[in-house]
Amino acid sequence: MSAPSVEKGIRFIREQIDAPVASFFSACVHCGLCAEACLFYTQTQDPRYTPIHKVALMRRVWESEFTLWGRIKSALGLTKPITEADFTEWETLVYDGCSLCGRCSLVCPVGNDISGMIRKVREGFAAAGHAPEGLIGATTRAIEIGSPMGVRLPALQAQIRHIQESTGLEISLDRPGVEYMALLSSMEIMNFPEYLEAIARILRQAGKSWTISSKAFEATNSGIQIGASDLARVLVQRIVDAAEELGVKMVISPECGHGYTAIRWDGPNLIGRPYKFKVKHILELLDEFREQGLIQTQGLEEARLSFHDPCQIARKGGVVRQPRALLGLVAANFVEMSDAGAMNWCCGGGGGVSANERADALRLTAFKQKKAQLDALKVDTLVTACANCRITLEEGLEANDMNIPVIGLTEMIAEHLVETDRIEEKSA
Amino acid sequence: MNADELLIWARGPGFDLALLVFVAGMLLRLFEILSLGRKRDLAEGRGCGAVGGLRTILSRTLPRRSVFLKEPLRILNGYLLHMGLFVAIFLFGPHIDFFKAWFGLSWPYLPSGMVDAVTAVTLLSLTVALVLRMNNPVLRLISTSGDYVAWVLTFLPLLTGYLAHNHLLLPYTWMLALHILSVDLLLVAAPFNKLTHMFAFLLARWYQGYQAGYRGIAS
Amino acid sequence: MSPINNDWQFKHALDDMDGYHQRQVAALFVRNVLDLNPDPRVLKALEVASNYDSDPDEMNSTIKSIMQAVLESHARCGAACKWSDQAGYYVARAAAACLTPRSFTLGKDPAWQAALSCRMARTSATLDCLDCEPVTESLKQHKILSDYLESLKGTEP
Ligand code: SF4
Ligand code: SF4
Repeated sequence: MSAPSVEKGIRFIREQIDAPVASFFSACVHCGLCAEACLFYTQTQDPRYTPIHKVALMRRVWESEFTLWGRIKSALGLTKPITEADFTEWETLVYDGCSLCGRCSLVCPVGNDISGMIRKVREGFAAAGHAPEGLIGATTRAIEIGSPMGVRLPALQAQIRHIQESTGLEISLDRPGVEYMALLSSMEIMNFPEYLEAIARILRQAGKSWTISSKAFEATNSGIQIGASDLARVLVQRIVDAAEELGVKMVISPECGHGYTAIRWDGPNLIGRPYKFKVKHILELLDEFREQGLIQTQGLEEARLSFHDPCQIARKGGVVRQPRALLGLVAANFVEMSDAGAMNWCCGGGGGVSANERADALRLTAFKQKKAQLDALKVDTLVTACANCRITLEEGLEANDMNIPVIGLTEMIAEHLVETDRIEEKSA
Repeated sequence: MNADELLIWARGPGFDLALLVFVAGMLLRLFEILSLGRKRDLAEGRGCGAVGGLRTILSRTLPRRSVFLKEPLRILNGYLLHMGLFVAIFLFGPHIDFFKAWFGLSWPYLPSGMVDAVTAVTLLSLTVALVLRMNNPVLRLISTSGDYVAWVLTFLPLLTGYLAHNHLLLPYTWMLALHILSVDLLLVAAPFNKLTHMFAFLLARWYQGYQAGYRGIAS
Repeated sequence: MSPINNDWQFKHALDDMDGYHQRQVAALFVRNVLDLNPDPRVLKALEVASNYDSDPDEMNSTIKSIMQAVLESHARCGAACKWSDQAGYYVARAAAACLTPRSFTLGKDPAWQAALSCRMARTSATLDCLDCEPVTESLKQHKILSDYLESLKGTEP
């Protein structure tokens, strides 16, 4: 790989410009409404966080190279070339000030997918050597160790041992011919072991065979967050190879927002072919089990609770109905936030923001948007379905003196699961 | 050159030329966009892209509730502006006569007094848009000289049309000539600035809606 | 009562205990892994947890500070993992479990929660080190609980 440089950055930006991008720039009327959709703008009131402004460098490349008028201007020497200083200036807008939440794209009156363009322009920033430290580290570890956080197989094995010991459930690695292959996020392995236990219990109750690949258990893809498609491709390929080798019918994406986007939508496009297996988010799967009567629950949570829709799962993933149906099983006092579902506000930590320490203060400012939603609701408990949202929410709540526990939905369903054969076995 | 000659040039060869540039320019822009192409989405879809595209072309015409509540003035003014322009351009008797002579098509028109009033309102609305653009920090940051040029190009035909119709400021023929000249100018310039949004918005909505429809996600 | 030899007995014994005794025994589990996180907030939490009549204000402020300790010690998304630090996170989590109301833990027993977190703490501490002893925290916990129940017999009529 050649060394990062401004030229390389510009070349990578150029390569990202396709017909949709050109139509977006041609259609933009500079109405500024996208700013009102973006939590980084609404909470800072700093106009530089206006979504369309974040892709200004891409606009400059497009205009000067892909339009007649721009080419004439360039030929006459009227175009300001993009410099190192430009990359430096925009770096914080593109990475720190955008969680790739996609809300702006739903608001733009002419229909521009601004969020998609920001994702694309990051390719140029990474190539120009202007990606944040934290994301570079995560991506390097993902490539070298297989996990952005450097989680190695023994750690997963230790966790599996724990769960087997305390629950008597069996979790097997690399079992070929099973129906499902489950992925985990490093966050779940490190911070929330309860997720793995929950799916083990649920899949067992549903009578499904499943496994985890020792070669590809990591669902997250920092290559996508940083904007390095070549690295993202390597990470996706590992999962695809493992799943196809084991011959599973479906890969289960865990409670991780961008992990779902990565494997569900970006993956096939990165490796250049469709998969030989299906991909579903764990909530989609749980809801299918519910519909098919494969799982039953007992007891209701009495707490007043609400659901935080992870952007990548609800807005960009289309999984909106399922969490509601699942909560309907176990929650007696469920309330919706304003803007819930596809228009939900981001927690502020997506798109690599939470992995980027430099952005900490900005992220907590942006969190005020979530706080406003929650203040209006007065809930006792918040449920979500993304480990990164969960940590970001917990930190934000703590910083704002709000005493609201955050719980994963899968875990909540597992807690209420009616486990028939297990009880018999134990008492036998 | 006297007023009659100018008028004859402006609505004759001038207009022909302007229209030619407009059509050729817009086609060029369309070609510039479409020729870039796009990759097929290889992820397994959940729905139909085309249905999604058409749906978004329609649905994006209405604002999202939460954004509307924040910026009602800017959004309502946007509607007013576009509807006003539509009425002034396409529902004014003399314009329709002109179109008929040109393209052979005609349709019913509104009483000229009404169009006149709408034009006045539209001029006001354009002025509001300008004031907003110059005072809102976000708009100030993202506006380019092109936005102001486009504003002037849109404002002039409306203004001169209004003045001509009401016989104000200059003799009628002069004002009418200026009116048509300003239209010629608008036509020539439109393909080269943000006025391309008059067709590009369809593409933009289509592309976003197509992806959303295919993936079964909101748009 | 027969000594506790497996998790099934362990869990049932915990299930049968009331909140106060659960907190006390949970605190004992955490004390056994205190070497992994010397944070004074953890100690404070254990003190308050084992105390029968802690005053509500003190309780609240202790919960707040232990939750803070949990949040400070968790791994952030994308950060390089250090399992020895992660051990500290699990200790803090275990200490928090001693204090959190059941409504926060989906009705799970606080002591069971604490026990699991303590085991994760011990495991985490050994993950970075290649020749560490295999973990036996659960066995130690069985013993702790047996002893505790034994000691109760002496005090209660
Ligand atoms: S909302 Fe759309 S049209 Fe308006 S400034 Fe943003 S990108 Fe441009
Ligand atoms: S994707 Fe979200 S965070 Fe990024 S610019 Fe759009 S609204 Fe803002």
